[in-house]
Amino acid sequence: MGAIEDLHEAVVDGRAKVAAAKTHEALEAGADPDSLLNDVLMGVMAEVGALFQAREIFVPEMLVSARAMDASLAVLKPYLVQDATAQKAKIVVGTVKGDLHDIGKNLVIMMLRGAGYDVTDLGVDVLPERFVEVVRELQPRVLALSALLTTTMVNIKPVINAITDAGLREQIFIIVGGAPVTQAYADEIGADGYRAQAARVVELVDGLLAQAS
Amino acid sequence: MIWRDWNLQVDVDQVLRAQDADPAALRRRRSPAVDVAEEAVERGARLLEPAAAFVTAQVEAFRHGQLWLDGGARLSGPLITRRLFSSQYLVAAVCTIGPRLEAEVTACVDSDAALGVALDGFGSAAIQVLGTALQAKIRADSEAQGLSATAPLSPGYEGWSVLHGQPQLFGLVDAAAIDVRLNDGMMMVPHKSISLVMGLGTDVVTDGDPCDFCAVADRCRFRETGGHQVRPERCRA
Repeated sequence: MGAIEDLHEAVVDGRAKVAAAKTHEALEAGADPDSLLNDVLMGVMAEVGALFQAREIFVPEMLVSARAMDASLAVLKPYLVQDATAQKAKIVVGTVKGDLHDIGKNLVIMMLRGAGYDVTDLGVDVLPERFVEVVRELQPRVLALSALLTTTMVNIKPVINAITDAGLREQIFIIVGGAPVTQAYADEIGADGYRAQAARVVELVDGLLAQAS
Repeated sequence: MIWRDWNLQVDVDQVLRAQDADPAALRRRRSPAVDVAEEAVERGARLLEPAAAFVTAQVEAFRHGQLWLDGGARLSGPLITRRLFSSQYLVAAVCTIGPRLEAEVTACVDSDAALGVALDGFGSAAIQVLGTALQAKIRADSEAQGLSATAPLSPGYEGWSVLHGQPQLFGLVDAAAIDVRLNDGMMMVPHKSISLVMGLGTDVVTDGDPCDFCAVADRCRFRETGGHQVRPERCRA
């Protein structure tokens, strides 16, 4: 098997040291760094996301795959031309007021960053006015709101209201997620998108942005 | 009363299950995620500060769908009505593994998400072990007095909402003594904490387990992977 196939397998299996070594090997064998990033690594992470979505692998396996991709990327970075590392649209992510859960939010961030988006994480227990302040300052294309409890998901709607009242709603897609959130609830509160699984967030954002362009 | 003398043993499989993963499948695939879970067990064990606060109150009466306790406090809610109506005493308890593990998760998750999430899984497993040990101790103490105990009930179960139940429970227990508080959304801080009540008596309803009262039992991946310790045979059904 060649170094590129080995790299592919190492990232899927989550073997960071092997992924770094195979990246070196592929570069030494003359592989194009931009192609390794865009055709191999991005493709592998999409494959890992699909495996997770199909429930063939679990969260810890997806995370070690991301870790292996990072190890490969660290080797690649000095060889990449500027454009290849240019990030896609800006996205702001946060868990709404009253909710301290961040693991699901962090998985969403990891998936989005893995797909090349420029993500700003506002953390947990974020007030509506803080979301407004950051959206006004950073002008992101997407705002992603998370809540894990039925008692805190009601705090998503006030964020959407605050964004609307500030005159920022037209310029931004608002997506929502978290265990108690459903598509029906997302529709009811006027969100632009919802997915039940963190692994599907990239597909959602890609779709929304493609639709807008 | 405060108990701090807990010896919590958390293993790698519990950490993986707490991340909704099937340990057997990961071992079969020789996934490095198992190594990460091992590291989380080693690091996490040093960060545990387990403590429990509890109080026992005599039940004065059960009327108008409310449990009236000695001293004037009352508990209410459909679940309370269904499960605690014949209790002679009520034990209310709050337990926590403390704030240090959560601080480590926050510090870790940006630089190494795999380890951060595994440490979070360790914390979830540890608080479940502590909750189970606390229930076992309450049962043993009550049996020593010739009393049986109901299944533990926690705010958030169907029929006893978080917004309704947590203030009632925290009105009974001195949770501040173990540094646990409620935020505006009635979530406990530190996050890896459990609050519960159990009814004691000679003729209480002893059947049932938390899965019976949980709103998401039908779609719980933790349950699917055999994560619950209370009655594991039910979880694998």
